[in-house]
Amino acid sequence: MLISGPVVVMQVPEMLNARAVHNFMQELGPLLESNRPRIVLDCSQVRSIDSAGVEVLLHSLEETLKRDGDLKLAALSPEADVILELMRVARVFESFETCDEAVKSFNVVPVEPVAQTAPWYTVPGELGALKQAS
Amino acid sequence: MLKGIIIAGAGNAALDVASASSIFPRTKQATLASLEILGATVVNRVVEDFKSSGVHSVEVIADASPETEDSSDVSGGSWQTAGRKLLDCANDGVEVVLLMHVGPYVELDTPAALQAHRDSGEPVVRLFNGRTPLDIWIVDPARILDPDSKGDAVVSWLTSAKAARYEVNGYVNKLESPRDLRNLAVDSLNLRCRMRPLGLEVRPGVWMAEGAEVEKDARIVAPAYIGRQAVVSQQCLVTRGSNIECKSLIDYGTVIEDTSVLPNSYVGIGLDVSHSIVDGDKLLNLQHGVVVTIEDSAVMRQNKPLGEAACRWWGGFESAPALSTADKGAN
Repeated sequence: MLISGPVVVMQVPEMLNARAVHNFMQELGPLLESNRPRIVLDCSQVRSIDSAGVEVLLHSLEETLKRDGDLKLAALSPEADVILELMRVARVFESFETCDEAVKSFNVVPVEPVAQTAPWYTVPGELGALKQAS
Repeated sequence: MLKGIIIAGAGNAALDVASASSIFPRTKQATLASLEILGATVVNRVVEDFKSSGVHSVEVIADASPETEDSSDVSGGSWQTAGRKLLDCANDGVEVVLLMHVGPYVELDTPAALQAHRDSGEPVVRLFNGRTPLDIWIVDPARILDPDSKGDAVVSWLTSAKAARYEVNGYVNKLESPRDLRNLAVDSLNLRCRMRPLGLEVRPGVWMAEGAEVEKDARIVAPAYIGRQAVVSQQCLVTRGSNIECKSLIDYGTVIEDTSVLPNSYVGIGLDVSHSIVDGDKLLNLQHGVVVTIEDSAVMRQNKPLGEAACRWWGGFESAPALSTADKGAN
């Protein structure tokens, strides 16, 4: 699977309410339109989210998934955690303790090359022995 | 003659007035004992306990400006008032006074405590919970030194006098934090203390008060309490020791789990409220230890304007009236 483009980490404002979502979407909107967007929302500063803010988060997730990308939450503040659980959307998002963990979760897991010490087939003796057998 | 004096106030200096006010801002009180839980405040219940134990009259002292007073501080206004009341009792010929500071909720065997006071021969008996002294005294007012002294001097004498000790064996809840409030509700619903919800036990473990409504397809799983004129809407679930206090409304499809919804609170549609205390637009989550203000009134808010709600709950008023209700309790 090819993953293209950088992972963008974006800070969610302290108050993600009906007044603040417009400015928030002005910053986030262009990122959602990119090919295979990979976005981490840093929620460490969040103190309040209302239903408009939750709607924006859900809409953003939907848009990233449409473009074969993903949106994840990181460093959820206790307040953000409480509100997302209250509104039953906490399980919709993949969330991580830190932004680093969220960013790393986007990377493809590298496949370790397997050292081939011996061929899977065996050579029955010398080649000459084969000729003798035949 | 036996008289009771109750000081209703913040239970402990550790309960910071500012933080408690942020949790229960509508009350402007830092006293958990004055919040209605399972249909009545702790103060009300103590008054009823006193009356049923043979106490002839009960006075409740509630300070009207609790922000400026830590009522666990015995030099404060409420205590001075209590001291003056004790002197009045001495002059009125009252034989025994049961003085109790209701911050903590204590289930007291009053007859046994009074007997212990008589047996001790001391003018003052102080009650203890293990090694922890409780703010409960049994006083012989006639033996107060210097009856002409002022209220604060009486209280100083009370706290410094050689007092006999009486161990309380009953249920004690310190009511120092919102977690204690929640524990009190759960303990009562699980019959772990004498306190009972006010209402009818419609089926084992489920109590409903007068005027409570539970709409079709709503599920109430025991133990639970639905308060006076509270409404639980369709498809809701109330479970795990939750209590919905008077005049609250739980809207369609919401789950209330291990939560206390304080009086006159509206909880919106399709929410999941767990391990919390709800007071209007404030949500105190006990697991995360945070208070969240819900700005969206469609999610959580005060259910009805305060004047209309008119709960028999001191928190329904901007400032608590100072009560002195002899023989009437706080009802």
